[in-house]
Amino acid sequence: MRQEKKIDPAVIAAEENLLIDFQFLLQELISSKNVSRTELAELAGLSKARLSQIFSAEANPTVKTMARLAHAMGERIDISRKKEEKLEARQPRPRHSFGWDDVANDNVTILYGNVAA
Amino acid sequence: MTGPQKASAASYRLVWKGPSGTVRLSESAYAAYDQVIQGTDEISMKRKAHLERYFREFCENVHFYQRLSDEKFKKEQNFPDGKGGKVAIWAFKSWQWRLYGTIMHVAASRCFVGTAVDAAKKRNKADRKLMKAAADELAALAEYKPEPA
Repeated sequence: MRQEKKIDPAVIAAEENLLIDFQFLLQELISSKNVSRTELAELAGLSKARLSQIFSAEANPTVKTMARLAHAMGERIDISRKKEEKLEARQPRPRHSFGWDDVANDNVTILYGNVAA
Repeated sequence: MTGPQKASAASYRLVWKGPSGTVRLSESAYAAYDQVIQGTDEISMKRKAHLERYFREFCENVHFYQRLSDEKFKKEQNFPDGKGGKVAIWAFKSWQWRLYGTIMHVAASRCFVGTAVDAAKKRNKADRKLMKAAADELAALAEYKPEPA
């Protein structure tokens, strides 16, 4: 029997947030450099339809396409790392640290959570 | 003599808050949004991740329009408000899911007020009937101000 793939919401959030970071960055470059999508598509050697698709929620551009688009805008993408806040809560308890109980009790800020109900 | 008191967007559900804005939803829009937030299927989780980032951008960035492309947040159409003005309908979009509303000032803050959701968008075009219903509800709010001509 085929086993159903388990979906981990944290993995999905990590994947989608990186995609959104790239989309925000690219749109910001388009806005600030006053370049049209038609021009960008041409500069990057992509069709206009493909470029539009890259801005959609369903997009999954390759790292090479991301680099190509940044290059077409005269920019370079740097990859850097940042600890996920939720993971920090799993680290060993530090000495003499006030307020750690809050973290241990899960009263930590979730990276992209906000207000609610 | 005063007429019947108008409904206020301030009584709508506050779903996101930041230094530059807020997002509030009517009860029906909130119920549809809650389904996404609580959803345990892959598409709901993806929608949630996208919508939260878009809301965050809208609420934290004064120049949100520089980073939110039309694929994420778009002014769809204007509708007559029945008083000589027009309501501009905007939509947050993610994975074939649209939240219709408008931008107004609520409790001294720029606010996206969402009143309708198209959760089963089968085509690329926005649902005109749903947008019209959203516009009617928005035009009846105390905070509503017609779009400048």
